[in-house]
Amino acid sequence: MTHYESYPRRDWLRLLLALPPQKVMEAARELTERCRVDDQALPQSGLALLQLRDGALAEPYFIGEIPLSRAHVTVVDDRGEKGEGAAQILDDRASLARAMAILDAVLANKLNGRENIEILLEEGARRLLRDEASRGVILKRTRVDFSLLDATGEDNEI
Amino acid sequence: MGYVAIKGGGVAIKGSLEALEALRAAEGEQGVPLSLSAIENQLRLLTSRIVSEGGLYHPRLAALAIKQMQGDTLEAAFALRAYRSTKPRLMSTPVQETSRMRVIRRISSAFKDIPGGQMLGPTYDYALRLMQIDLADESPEVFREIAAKFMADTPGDALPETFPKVVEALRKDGLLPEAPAHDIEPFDITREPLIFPIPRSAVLASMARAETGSLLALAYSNMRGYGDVHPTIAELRVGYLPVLLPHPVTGEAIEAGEVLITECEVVAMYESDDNKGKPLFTLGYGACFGHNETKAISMAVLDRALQKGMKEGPTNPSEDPEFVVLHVDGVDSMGFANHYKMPHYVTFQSDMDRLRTTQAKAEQKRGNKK
Amino acid sequence: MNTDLNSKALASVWAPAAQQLSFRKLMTAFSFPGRIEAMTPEIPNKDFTVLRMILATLTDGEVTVADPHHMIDDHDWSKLETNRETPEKARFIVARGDIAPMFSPGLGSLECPEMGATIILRVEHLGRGEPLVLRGPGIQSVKEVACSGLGAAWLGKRQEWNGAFPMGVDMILFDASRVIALPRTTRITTKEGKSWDM
Repeated sequence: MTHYESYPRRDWLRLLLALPPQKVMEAARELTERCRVDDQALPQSGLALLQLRDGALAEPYFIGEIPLSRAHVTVVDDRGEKGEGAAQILDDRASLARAMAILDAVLANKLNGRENIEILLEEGARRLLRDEASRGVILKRTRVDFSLLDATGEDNEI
Repeated sequence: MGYVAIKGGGVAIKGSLEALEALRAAEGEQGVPLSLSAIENQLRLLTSRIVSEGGLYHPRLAALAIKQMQGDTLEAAFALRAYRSTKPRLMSTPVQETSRMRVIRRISSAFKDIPGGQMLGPTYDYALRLMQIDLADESPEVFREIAAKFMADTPGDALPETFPKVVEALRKDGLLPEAPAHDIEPFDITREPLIFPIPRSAVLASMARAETGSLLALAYSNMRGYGDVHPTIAELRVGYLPVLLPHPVTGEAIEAGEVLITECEVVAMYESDDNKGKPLFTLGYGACFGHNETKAISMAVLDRALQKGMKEGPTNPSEDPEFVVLHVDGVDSMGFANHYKMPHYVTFQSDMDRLRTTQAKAEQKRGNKK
Repeated sequence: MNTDLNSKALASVWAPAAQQLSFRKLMTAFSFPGRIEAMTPEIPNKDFTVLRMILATLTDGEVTVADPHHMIDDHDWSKLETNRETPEKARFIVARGDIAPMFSPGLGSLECPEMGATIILRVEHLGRGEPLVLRGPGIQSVKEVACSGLGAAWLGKRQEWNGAFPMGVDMILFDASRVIALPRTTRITTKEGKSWDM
C-alpha cells in the first residue's frame, strides 16, 4: 500500500473528485463524529468566470462561467490537534466542498482519522488511471501515421 | 372596437403548459422518461452545444434543459442562462493555460508534422453520411459492450496527455508575430453592457456563448467572398482543460476540476506590420465550451475578420464588430424574434387608427379634386 | 419543503431563506419611505442583529462596504466575504446616527446615479422621539415617523449630498429590531416646519 504522502496536496481534490460523491460525504460525516469542525467562512456555491488566454494574440478573455463551490474549515481531532483545510471544486454542491475541506484539513495536518482518507485517495487514483487510459486509447487508435502517406505518394499516378 | 381586452389569458396559459407536458409524454404506456445520463452521453454533441450557448459549463444541467425544453436548443440555452443568473459570482479564475489540455483530438490542416503528432480523435469528418438503418433497432446488450470493446487491449506505448501548442512552434520559427502576454483585465459581458467600440476580449466572450448557426452563417459569408479570410487550421484541439485555483490556505495551485473545451487557431493571410517589418502570418482564434468544432472554426474566422475590421474599418458585415457581436447571441435573437407573438393589441390598435385616418384624408383629397 | 427545514432556514441570518424575507422587507421599506418594517425573525436565533441581517442580505463580493465607526466585527467580515472600502468610495456605509458624519460619501454621477452610496445608519429608537415629516414618492401626501438618536447634522448633510438630484445617497435607519428607508427622493421636514429639502 503506497503511503498517502506519495500524493501531493495539489492532487487530493482531483483524486477525491474521481470518487462517487456519497463516499466523500460519508467519510467526512464519520470524521465529524469524532472531530469538531468550525467553518472559517460560509460554505458557498456559486459561479466563477473561467479566464483563458487566446492563442492568436495572447490576450486574456473569459470563455464563460463554471460552477464553483468552496469551503474553509478548522478541524480539531479527538487528541486536541487542530488544523485548517479548504476546498474549491467545479461542482454546485457546497456540502461536497465542505466535506472535501474537512478531508483536506485532516490529511494536511496529520489529524486522527487520516487512514481512511488515504484509502479514498488510492481508490481515486485507480479510477483516474482508468479514465486516463480510456483517453489514451482514443489517442492511440486515431493517431495518423504520415509515413504511410509518404511511402505510397510516388505510386499515386492517375 | 373600444377597449381592447388583454387580460384573461391565465387559464389558457396554464393549459398550454399542460399541453406541452402531454406532448412530451405522448408515448403513454410505451413511454420511458429520458435519463439525463442518456442525453449527456448519447446526445453528447447536443449537450456540448447547450453548455456553450448557455454560457455555463454544467453538462448535467444542460442535459436537463434539453429534456425540459423538448430538444429546442434556443430554449434550452435560455434555461441554462436563467439558472446561472440565480447563482452568486464567487470569483474569476486566474488565467488557465490551454497547453495543459488533456486532448482527445488534435489536428492541423496547415502543418503535417506537428510536435507530438496528429490524433483524429472522435470525429465524423471522414464518415460516410449514409443512414445506419440498424441503429433504429439497437440491441441494449450490444450497446452496453461497445465502449468496453473499444477500450480493450490497445497495443503500443502510452501517449502523453498534453501537447505543446502548434502556434508556439510557429512563433519560435519566426512565422508568427511575437505575442507578449498582456495583463489587461478582460471584459465581463455578464456584468457590463456592450457600448461600442468594445475590446477584443468582449468579442471573444460574446462569440464563445453565441449561437452556432448564427456564427456559422456570418463566417461562411466571409469565406464565400464577403470578406477575405482564407483560413487554414494551424491547430484544432478538443480536450479536458484542468482548472487550477489557488488553495485558500496555502495559495498553492490545486486542480478543482476539468472542463471540456474546443479550441482552434486559423492561419489567415500574411501581412506586413505597421512598422514595415517582415511580413508575417496572422491568426484568428476561436474557443468554446464542449465539443463544437464548427463553432470554434467559425469563431476563429470571424475573429480574424473582426481584427481587420477593428483596425482598418469594416468592408463587409463579418468585419463589423457591431454587426457581428450584436446579432449572434441566441438568447437575444430568439427572444426578440419570439416576442412578436406577445400581445401587441394596443400598439396595433393605434396603427389601425392611423391607417384609417390616412385613408379618410386620401379619400377626401380625391373627392376635392373632382 | 417540510417545516423542519423551514425553521432551520429561518434560524440563521446566513441562510438564503432568511435573506430573501429580509430583502423583501427592505424593498417594502424603500417603496414606502418612513413605513416601519420589523426585521426580527419569527424563530429567535442567537446570531440575529438587525445590522447583521441587513449586511448579509445586501452585501457580497461584488460590492464595497465602509465601516468608519467600527460597527462590524471581524467574525462578520469573514462571513460577509465583501470588500472593505473607504467611505468616500464605498457602495454601502455603516454608521452611527449619533456621531456627526466626517466623510463625503459617493454620490454617483449623472450617467450612473445609482452608484451613490447607501448609508446604513444606527439610531436609538424608531417610533419614539423627534417626529420627521416625510413627503415624496411612495408617500400618500404626508408620513410622520418618530426617530431618536439621529443627530441633526445627518439631516443637514443629507440635504447637501442630495442637492444635485438624481445624484445623492439613500439611507436605511435601523434600531434594535426595525428599519425605515429614506431614499433620496424623500423630502424631510420637522414638525416645526424646519426643512431639510427644497
